Amino acid sequence: MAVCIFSMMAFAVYSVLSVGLSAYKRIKGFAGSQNDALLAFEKIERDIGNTFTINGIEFTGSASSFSFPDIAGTAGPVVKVTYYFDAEAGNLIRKEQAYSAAVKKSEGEGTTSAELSPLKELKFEYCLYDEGKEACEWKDKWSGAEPPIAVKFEAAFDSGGKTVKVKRIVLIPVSL
Amino acid sequence: MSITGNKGFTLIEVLVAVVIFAAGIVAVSRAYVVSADALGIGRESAQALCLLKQKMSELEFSSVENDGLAAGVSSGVFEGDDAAYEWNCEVRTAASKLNELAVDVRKTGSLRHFTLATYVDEKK
Repeated sequence: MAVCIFSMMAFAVYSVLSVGLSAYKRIKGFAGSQNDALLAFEKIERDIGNTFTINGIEFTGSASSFSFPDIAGTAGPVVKVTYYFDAEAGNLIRKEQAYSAAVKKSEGEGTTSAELSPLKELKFEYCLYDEGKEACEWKDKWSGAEPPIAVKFEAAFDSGGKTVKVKRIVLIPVSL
Repeated sequence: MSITGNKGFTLIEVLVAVVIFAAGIVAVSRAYVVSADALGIGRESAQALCLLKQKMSELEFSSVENDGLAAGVSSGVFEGDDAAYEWNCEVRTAASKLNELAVDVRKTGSLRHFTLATYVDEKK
């Protein structure tokens, strides 16, 4: 009788702890990643919105990365910011270089930080405005002194076992 | 050594202890359910915010591409996995050559909704 009651109690405790652990894993899965993504995209928007044109640093972009001059970075008043998607690790990395390092094209210099992970996909596109058609054409590459009118990014990440897709278009005020 | 003084627990005492323990287990289990519900609401809110920002960025871009937005009301639902969320957009005259753009996103059937507003050029 005593063994029977003890077994039932042990089973009940085990069940509650097990359910608690799985609930914790689910909570950790979806509360974190979605809110992290919102904050990271907000930061990217602010960064891109502050870009401007300056000799020595061009706006360059590909499907998985883009670089642009920016102000008020930690490395100095004028910095080169690069966002790139590390597909192997699933991280969105932000790299910041001081103006001097960017002009010298010293790729090794600068500080990097992981802004968002884990990401499944991340793709960047750049708006080329066709004045003849009065419409925007989205390109997966960009190079030139002038930044595009807008940058579009599409990301996919896992949130609580479900794939969440985020699409955002960021206007660049200096090009409008 | 004698054990005659050790009376142990009666069956009633053990059963009362088990009932109290079971009540505690039920309370803890209910706490999980409540937290999971709260988490679901939080997740829906985060998703609605994501979609709101996405819709607003699309409309702002459309305003730039088309030289402004004309006053009017439009609505729709998001595509794919986000078909459970709907959006409403209202563009109204705010001042000369300036329109106010308000976008509202909610999960279909939900009372909780999120709104963002900004100013755009009036359609030329």
